[in-house]
Amino acid sequence: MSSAEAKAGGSFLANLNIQAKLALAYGLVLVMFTLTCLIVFVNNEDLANSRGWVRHTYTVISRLSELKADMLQQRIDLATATRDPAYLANYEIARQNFGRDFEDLKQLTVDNPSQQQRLDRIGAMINGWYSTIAQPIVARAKAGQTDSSAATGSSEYGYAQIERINGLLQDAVQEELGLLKDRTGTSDHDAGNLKLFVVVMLGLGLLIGAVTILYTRRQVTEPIVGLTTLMDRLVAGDTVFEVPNTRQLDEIGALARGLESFRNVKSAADRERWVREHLLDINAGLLPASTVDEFAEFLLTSLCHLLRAGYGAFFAWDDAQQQMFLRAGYGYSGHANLPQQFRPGQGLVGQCARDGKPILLNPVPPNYLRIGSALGEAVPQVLMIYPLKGRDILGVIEMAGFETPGPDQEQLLAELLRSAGLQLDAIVNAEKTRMLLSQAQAQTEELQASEEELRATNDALQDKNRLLEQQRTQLQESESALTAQAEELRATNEELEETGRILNDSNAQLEQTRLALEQKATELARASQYKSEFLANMSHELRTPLNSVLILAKNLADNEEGHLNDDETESARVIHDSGTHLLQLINDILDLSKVEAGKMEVLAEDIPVADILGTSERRFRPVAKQRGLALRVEQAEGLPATLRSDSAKLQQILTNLLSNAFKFTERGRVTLRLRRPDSAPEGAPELPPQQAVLFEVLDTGIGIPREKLDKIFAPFEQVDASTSRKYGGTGLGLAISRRMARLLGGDLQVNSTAGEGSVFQLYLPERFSGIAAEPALAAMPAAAQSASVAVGSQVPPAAGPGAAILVIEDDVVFAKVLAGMVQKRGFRALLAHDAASGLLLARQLPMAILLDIHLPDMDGWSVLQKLKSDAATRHIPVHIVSGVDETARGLQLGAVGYLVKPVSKESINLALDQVQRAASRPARRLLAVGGDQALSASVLEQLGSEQATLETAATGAEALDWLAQRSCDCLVLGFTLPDMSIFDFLEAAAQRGPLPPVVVYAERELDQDEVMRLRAHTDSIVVRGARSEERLLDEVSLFLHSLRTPAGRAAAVQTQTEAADLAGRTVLVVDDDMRNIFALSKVLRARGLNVLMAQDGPKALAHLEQREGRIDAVLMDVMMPGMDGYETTRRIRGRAGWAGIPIIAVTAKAMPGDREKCLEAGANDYLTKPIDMDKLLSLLRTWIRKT
Amino acid sequence: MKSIPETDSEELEIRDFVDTLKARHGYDFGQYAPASFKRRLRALRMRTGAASIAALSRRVMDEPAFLRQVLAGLSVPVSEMFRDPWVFEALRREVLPILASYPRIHIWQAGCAHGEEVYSLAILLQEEGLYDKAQIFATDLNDVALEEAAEGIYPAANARQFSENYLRAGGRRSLSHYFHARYERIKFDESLKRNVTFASHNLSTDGVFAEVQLILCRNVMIYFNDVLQDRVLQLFRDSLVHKGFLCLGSKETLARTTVEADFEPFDASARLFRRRAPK
Repeated sequence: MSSAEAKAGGSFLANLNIQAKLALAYGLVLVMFTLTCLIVFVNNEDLANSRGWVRHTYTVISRLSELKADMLQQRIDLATATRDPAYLANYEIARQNFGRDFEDLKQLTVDNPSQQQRLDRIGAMINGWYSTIAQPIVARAKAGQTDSSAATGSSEYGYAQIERINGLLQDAVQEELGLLKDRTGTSDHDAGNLKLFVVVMLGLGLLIGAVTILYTRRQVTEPIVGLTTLMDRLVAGDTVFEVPNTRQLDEIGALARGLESFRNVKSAADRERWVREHLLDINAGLLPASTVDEFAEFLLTSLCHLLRAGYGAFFAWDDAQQQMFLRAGYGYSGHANLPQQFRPGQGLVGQCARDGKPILLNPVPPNYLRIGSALGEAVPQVLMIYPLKGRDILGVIEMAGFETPGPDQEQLLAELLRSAGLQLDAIVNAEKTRMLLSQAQAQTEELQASEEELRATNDALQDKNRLLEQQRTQLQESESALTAQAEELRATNEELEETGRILNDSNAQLEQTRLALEQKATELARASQYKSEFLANMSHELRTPLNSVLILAKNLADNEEGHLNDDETESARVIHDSGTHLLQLINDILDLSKVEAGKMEVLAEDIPVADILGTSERRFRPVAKQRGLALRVEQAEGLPATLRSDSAKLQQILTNLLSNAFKFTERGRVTLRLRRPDSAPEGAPELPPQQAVLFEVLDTGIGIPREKLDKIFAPFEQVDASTSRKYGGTGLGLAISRRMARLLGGDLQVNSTAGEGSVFQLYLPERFSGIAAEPALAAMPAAAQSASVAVGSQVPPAAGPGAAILVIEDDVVFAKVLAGMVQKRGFRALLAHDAASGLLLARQLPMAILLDIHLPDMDGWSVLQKLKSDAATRHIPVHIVSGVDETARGLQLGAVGYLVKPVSKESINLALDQVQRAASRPARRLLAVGGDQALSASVLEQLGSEQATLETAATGAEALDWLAQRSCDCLVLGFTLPDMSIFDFLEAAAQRGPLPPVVVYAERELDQDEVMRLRAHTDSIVVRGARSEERLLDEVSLFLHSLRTPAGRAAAVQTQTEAADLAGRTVLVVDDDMRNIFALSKVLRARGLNVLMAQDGPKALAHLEQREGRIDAVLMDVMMPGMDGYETTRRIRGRAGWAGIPIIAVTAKAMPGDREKCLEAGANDYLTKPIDMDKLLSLLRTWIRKT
Repeated sequence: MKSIPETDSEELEIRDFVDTLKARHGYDFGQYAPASFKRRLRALRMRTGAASIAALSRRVMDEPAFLRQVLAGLSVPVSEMFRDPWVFEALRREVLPILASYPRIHIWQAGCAHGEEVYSLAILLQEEGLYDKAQIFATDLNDVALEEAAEGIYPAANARQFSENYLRAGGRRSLSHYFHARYERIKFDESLKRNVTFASHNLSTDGVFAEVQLILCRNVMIYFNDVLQDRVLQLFRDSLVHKGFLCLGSKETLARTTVEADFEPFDASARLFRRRAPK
């Protein structure tokens, strides 16, 4: 087999296992060896054979030579024997040798017929020799004849014959030599062949050996060495190599495969370890992350490092919005305009989120994205998008880089994404839990706080209850203690009623006859006097038992025996205090009755002026000190040293005035001044000022409202109901004082400004002449002539002659009660017991009417209707007091109030307050314009009847005409006027003079601009709707109750001059609050500024745009819907050329940071609400001047 | 010798904290109800891991960014949609028809926390056809809460409670009409915010910013002491139009306050008060 063959069969050979390969090689060698031996052996046999033949030839030749010698010997021996018979024996031996050698030769040449033939001829010739020559000689020799001659004679012993035999033998040798030559040639040829063969076989054997060695090296040794080297590399940790021969089927292949799988195991282990390490690192880094953002930040940074990505973004899934939002970026910030959120399926990120499978883009298309740094930028090679999943998709990570992730990185990613997904899930859940926890905590906190609040309220309530309970107990105690007095009082009441009845009777008489009128009036006056006398006496009677009550209560309160507990002594003290108060009341009533009954006597004497003042000062100095007030006593020049008057009464009046002054003054001072009056007082017109003196008590206290000034001198009147609660007192002091002053020939007057103090002026004649100036009876009101009776004349009316209140009530007793209360308020009372007389008396235009529904001749409803349908009486407020509860009907018919019997004193007083208020208002006029569609008839009626007279105008023009002639107190406007727009109307109306309060009733929703334009004139806009009429009434009554005074305007006029420098400038007011915008614009306009108004940022910008920035200043509210003040300011500042416009920010916020925020946004200055106008103006001046 | 009790030193630290916060940032918590404030402060200390309240003070002093966390921690943002449904029912039945007569309706939600009531109001107005002319000012001093309020996202777990309240408040459809629910969250429609202005406003320092017809301030004043309650109520009074409405929380009242006389009860169970017309 040749090496060429071995190469040709390489694949086959290669696939043979090594054992087979070796067997093959060695087998081949063995076969060669055996073959060579065999061939050599065979050749050697041939050689030996041919050598045998050569030897045979030599033997034959030597035998032939021996034969020849034998023959010669025989002839010699024979010849000898003839001379001596003793040599006959030698002949015999030579003959025998010949015979033997001949036979041998015959045997030797048996294979050679030519030689046999020759030998046969020799044998025959010998025999012939024997017979013819030898025999006869032998026989003669034996016979002893020695005849040499004879024998010799026979031809020398047969020589010729012998020579022929020799010739034949020579021939035989010649043949044998020829044979030898042939045979030696054959033998030499064979030996040469054998030599050649051995040389060839040796060469072949060497060749095969060499091929086998070479082949073994190639097929076995080299691969094994190669694998060993790889193994060494593997051991050294290198796993990056290709293992050869793995596809071979032999042991090398197996070995290579083994190595390969070993390498794979090793590299897998390495990868595993690498993955574990990084996984551990990253997970350890992620572990502390408690929020999605922290988590995203760390994970993304780690991944980008790992994958050597130059760009990365982390989008976290938001369940609520079903979107993913960018939560962390890596090299992402430079791409601000890249999307920050993705919906599932939107873009590759969305796709990845939807599929939950990674997306790899490789290569990345050019212009897809560039990764940049300071030094340059390039398109990344690969874009990787990986989903992050827990139970559901939690997020998507997008990265771009220059390298495709390797298998290790892939594996790490897979593991990392799985574990990170779980962790993110946990974080999201933890966040949720945290939120729930904080929610729960917050709820607990709120609960606790509200419980505490509740507890506080409860405690306060309990305290209040306890106090109430205490008071109730005290009340009960004083009640029982005063039962006796109450009984007596009841008796007094009965008598009073009786007296009343008598009076009524006499009144009835008066009613019947005009002629007896005067007389009856006198009787009446006398009856009144009786009553006063009775009262005076009664008061005396009351004082006696009360005294003992007081003394006993005081004893108890002092608790000298000490067997009362604190509560009981406190109760006793309360009894004592209440009793003292009652006593004071009785004293006052007594005084009052005395004065009124004319029983008060004046004891005129000369009193030193210094004494009068000194006594007062001494008495009130301690009071002043205690109250922390100053007391000043002043005396003018040129006064007499003494006065003639009733010292006690004068002192009483002064004491009363001074104690009032101290009572109502919290801080400041009280002054008692004596001087000459400037003029005669109202109550004593004939008193010449130069003969009179004036005591003035001035204080700096709460003062008395103007409308109450007249009433404070009426009995039981105080400035308001709360006064008595706060300041105490009976309310009789001033009434008595005035009456005493008049008794002393003078008068008592008051001047006061609410909140600033009061001046009480006591006018007295220098010398009292002894005549009581106060008439005991007031003149009979002329108005009572016609029908009903005027009862209440015992209290002179404090108000003007017209100030009467008509009571229409069929119950005589109740009518009198009402009349009494009316009189107590200082009004005249007109009484009517039936409808007809009521209506008659109403013609006298009383100030107000109290009306009963149940009347003998006609029901109260009809009376009310008649009153309201008569233009003359329509404005008189009517209050219904009835046993029938039909409040709604009453109010609908125009009553100002409705009282259901039985009634209390308080409720009657409230009713009187109400009618009084209604009457004290000047007649209000309400003009409704164009409201036919919008204003239902009933609303109009309600508007009109309740508080004012209603006028209507169908069109704007009509209304303007009406306004030109008259004034009105309130204007109700429908939004849609038939002849002009409401804005034109308002403009036109405003041109004529100040507008009355306007209420706009819109039949449809208004847009922003309409509202804005209306708000320039009014704040009251009512849009028609289910409850709009109710609000319309509210708005109207608000105006009718309190006529608004445009205070801002008035104030503005005063300061107009000082702000002249701002005149003509233009200010833009930006504010969404209408109230502010108009209040500001009013003030600013009053200072001559042009004011532009904008309700929001965009409108402000539009204004600026329109005027090309020519605005002197902007007042910018910070908090506006939509574009806020900061943003608007920034936009203004962002415009070229507008940077210089002064902007003053206006904010409700008072935090220190807010100012900075405003200035930061570009405002020049800052003002807080509520706006201080002076400050605003000074700011405007500062900034406008600067420009 | 007596040792100073623990509480006393804590009181001192709290006082110091309040002073620091006021001096550093202008937020005045001096008039918050002390018991509640103390609890909030303790909770804040726990949450921020501060060693003591004094440590909190130092952080307030040194880290301006810490303020947000402090404000978020000190306020108690808890509410639910249509909380106390009868209140919203009363608003719907009695108040909104009257507000309808104004050409523009301004509503102030003071202390809006996470905005649940803002969205409740917006829904109410929407259903009564008034939302387009309404403007809601939702204010809070807590910026974090405001941001959440503006997002309008709430845990879905609350949705059931919200829905029940909504129906009991006289809701006309299903509350789910107004939000999208996904997994654990619900998000209210963006359109509900179109007329809402979220703004920072501190009731203890800031002033009147708008004239409004309705103020809701529920369960806010329970955290204030009487002085601050009076201030806030005066602020409300001055912000309201005459005959405007004030709605307080179920435990809050005008009794014992300086503005008691300026309001008349309108619906006692809903704690609705109405500003009296000026006398």
